[in-house]
Amino acid sequence: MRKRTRLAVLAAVIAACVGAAVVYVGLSVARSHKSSPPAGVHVVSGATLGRGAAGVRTTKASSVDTEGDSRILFVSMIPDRTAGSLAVAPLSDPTSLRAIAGLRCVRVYYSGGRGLCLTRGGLLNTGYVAKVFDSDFHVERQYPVSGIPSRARVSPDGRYGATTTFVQGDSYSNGNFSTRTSIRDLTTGKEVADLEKLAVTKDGRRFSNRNFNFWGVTFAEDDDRFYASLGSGSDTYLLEGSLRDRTLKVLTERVECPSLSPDGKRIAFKRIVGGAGDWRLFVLDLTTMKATRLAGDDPIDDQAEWLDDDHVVYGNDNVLWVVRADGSGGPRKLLSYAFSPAVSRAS
Amino acid sequence: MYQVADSQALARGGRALVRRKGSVKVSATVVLLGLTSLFTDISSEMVTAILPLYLVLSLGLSPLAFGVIDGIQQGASALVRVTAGYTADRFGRYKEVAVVGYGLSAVTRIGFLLVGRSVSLIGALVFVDRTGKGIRTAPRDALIALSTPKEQLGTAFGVHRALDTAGAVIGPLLAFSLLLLLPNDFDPIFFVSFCFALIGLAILVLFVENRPDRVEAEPLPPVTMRSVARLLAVPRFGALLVAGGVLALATMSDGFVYLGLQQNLDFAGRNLPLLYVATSLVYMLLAVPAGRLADRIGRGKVFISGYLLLLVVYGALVAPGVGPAASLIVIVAFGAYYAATDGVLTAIASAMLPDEARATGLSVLVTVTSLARLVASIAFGAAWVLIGVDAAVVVFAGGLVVAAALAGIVLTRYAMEPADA
Repeated sequence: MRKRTRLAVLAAVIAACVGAAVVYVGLSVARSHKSSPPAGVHVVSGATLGRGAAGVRTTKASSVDTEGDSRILFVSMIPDRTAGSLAVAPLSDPTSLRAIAGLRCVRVYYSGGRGLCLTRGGLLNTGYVAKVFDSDFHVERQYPVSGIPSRARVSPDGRYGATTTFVQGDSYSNGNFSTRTSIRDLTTGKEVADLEKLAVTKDGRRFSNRNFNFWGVTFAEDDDRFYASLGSGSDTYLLEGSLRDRTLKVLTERVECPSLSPDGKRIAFKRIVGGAGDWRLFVLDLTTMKATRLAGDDPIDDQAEWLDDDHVVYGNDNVLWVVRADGSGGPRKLLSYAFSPAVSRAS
Repeated sequence: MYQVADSQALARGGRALVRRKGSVKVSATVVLLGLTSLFTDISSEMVTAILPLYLVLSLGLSPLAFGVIDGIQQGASALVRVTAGYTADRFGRYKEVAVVGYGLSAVTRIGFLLVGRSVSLIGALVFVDRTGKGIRTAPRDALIALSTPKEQLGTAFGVHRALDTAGAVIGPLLAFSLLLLLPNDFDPIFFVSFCFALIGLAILVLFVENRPDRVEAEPLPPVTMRSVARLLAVPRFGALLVAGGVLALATMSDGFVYLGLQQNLDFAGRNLPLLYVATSLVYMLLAVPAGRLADRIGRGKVFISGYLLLLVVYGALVAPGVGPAASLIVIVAFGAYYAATDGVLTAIASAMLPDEARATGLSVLVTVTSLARLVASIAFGAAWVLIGVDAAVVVFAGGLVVAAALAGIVLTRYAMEPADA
């Protein structure tokens, strides 16, 4: 090639490259303006989330704000820098917009205007702490929890909080684990009950064994009664407890991680139906003591939450699912990139 | 034998000299290769600047995992580098080998647009990109050396590094501007990066030429361990490898320096890229003066002085109460350290290597120094954990003093011709 030809080719290459770059950036800007969200709303594009994934709209959370609409709180797992943050979304349309709070939690619950967020803490973040937060996500107090967080629950009026941690092992699915479950008065931070120190009765008789493990507390409305599960070897039991009397009573067998319905008449729970770790969700009617298996084929390891008196919500593989509480229908996807659901009902 | 080769290079270089403004004289090839590097560096630094952000924020990969992968690839590309250098020497096809290297890196930019969020494929692209960089460096530097008379090598590499570093300044600024314009949208960055890579490649393909006498020469025998070893046996080059190697062993990686500066100078984390850009800017401005100074007073002196500037930087990392004014001095010292060492070391090596083994020798040198730097980086990280950051810096500063003294002795005794020392 002659020098003049080469200069012409270079000029053409530069023109084509600069032109293409300008057009590409221009098209991208035009596209982003078209789908431009309102101020304060950030869009995590579907393309960054995975093939065929829908985008997620996020904003900063300043308050749980239950006025007019029920809310669902959860741990958001959008795979960006917000992963692991506490988030809140309107229950009527949870995918419309998720507000992300400044707290990070490995397990969260919220009820009666108060929340419990189990998160890393302690010396150099080597352990875990429970953070008690109000409806504006301000941390009122925090206390250390020993072991790896598994379950958290707050009583309906926001007074008491229960935490379950693994002090040995990190899963319920093999027999080799040890849990600690403790209930605290969230207004003072003082422990009101370590379940291992309460007396257990079964059929009116004292029931005790060194291998007892307690987990998954759920509170009734009266600031006294609560339910929890007890494990002894491969056997599990549903306990009814009283904070006032400091007692625990076995109600029935093969129940784990109970969750009391808003009307207080039923308990959603998980039960082994096959080998180790092969749990399904059931609902127990406390008047007839009859258990009904809920629809769904996948193994579930979660403490379920009641969406309303007819629906149960649970997390599985960072997706929240809803299923009818009477055993009919099938699971419906409620929210992606989320676990540890807690419903805050409109007052 | 070297005498003959050198005088030929001198004559050829003299013919190829182009007068530029001021009194800096370099051949057209040096400027063209500098422009290729400028556009390629805009392209690659755009991606390098945002890649951690992209991987960590968009794909959820831990920065540590990325660092580990990156480190392993640095080691792996050493083999490619020497093979490419030798191939270029053997057939006299410096340009073609360099085109393969630049081309591979350019192709990866389009790859980023296509692979989506697969972390393994992105890892593969980064690997191809690094491989391309490994392939092109030695033949490109050999071309610069072959088109420059020996006594002006410092200036020539200074001009090239100044243009190259200008790309390293522009690239990140451009990438972050695009990110400001289009938050969370990385595709335009990859596309614009690809466009710049193409322009750089076009300049190389269209205008840079091999030296015909080297192409027409009989190809050398195929690469063997023995042929590389024979090169190392050239006593002066062996001494240079030792000097460059021990100095690199006492060199903290950039990342640690910036991190330390940020902590000690009370710099906000989000301003960290500013430190990087400012240092590059100083490097860019001082590369040519440093190269000319090296040509005039001796490359060895300038090279060793560069490491004494690094010692100043180490001092600032541990000195108590370093204010904003002192931080400016640190940035200037750090940029000047780069200007005095990077291109100058290549110039020293180019001057002592025979024409027919220049790319091979340069690739061996880069491999030795970058492996030594990798070892230093791991050692510094371990020392940080074991004895704390301040003590680690002090140990490295002590090591640097010893290494500089050792390198000074080795260079003056064995490596340099009296005129160069």
